[in-house]
Amino acid sequence: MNIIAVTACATGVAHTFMAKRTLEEAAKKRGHQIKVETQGATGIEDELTQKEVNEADILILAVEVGIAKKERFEKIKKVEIPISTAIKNADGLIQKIEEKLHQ
Amino acid sequence: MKEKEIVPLEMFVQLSFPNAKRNKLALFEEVAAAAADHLKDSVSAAAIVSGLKEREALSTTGFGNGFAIPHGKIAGLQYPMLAVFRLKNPIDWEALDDQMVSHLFIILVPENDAEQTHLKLLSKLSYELVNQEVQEQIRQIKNEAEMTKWIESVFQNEEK
Repeated sequence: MNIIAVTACATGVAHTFMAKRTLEEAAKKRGHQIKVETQGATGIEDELTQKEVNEADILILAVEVGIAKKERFEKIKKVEIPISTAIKNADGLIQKIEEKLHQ
Repeated sequence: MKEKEIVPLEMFVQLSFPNAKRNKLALFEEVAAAAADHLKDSVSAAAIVSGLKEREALSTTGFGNGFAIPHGKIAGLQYPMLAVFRLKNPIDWEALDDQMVSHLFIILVPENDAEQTHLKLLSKLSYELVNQEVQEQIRQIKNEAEMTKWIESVFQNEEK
């Protein structure tokens, strides 16, 4: 699967980046491609292009605040989760997504 | 190209911290006092406690395996700062995996626009801390000098 994600937490220096790591590791472990955009205290990093959004199978939103440039994501299938879930159980999340998309 | 003068990110490290408090919120007072004493910026311990509590109320900063990353926007703080503690007496942090916490990586940021380079360093640190191999490396660190060196190596590692 080609997965994209956006992480965004309240203060923007800790959970935003922890979730990025856990999602990357979980997806790669299962053999998927993943790109994670962070929207934190340093602004938007690893910004997802419209092309990358169009080519992805699913978008994971691990956010606890509103995100910028939402228009990019109008058409793509999404799953929204608390950022702590991404940190606590990224493996479980990826597996759930696999089940969901391969039904 | 002219290099802008960047104030180094201030760090305070104390391993084997003999915490008297066994309750998370009370412990904030203890570590804030220790940090405020040593940090050059004249920010009060009370301001630190307030900022940390505010963030902690949203959701736990204990992210697993005995590690926590308390953080917050601190009134009166000029530059972001990092305070690292290894607690002598691990405590309950309502962590995501319910394990007791012994390693605290406390991130303090100003209320207003902070020095971006410092925020980038702290974000990098967060990105590393959640990895289990990194956590194991940290557990093996024996003294403050080693810890400071380890943190600086994370900051200097340009690979992405």
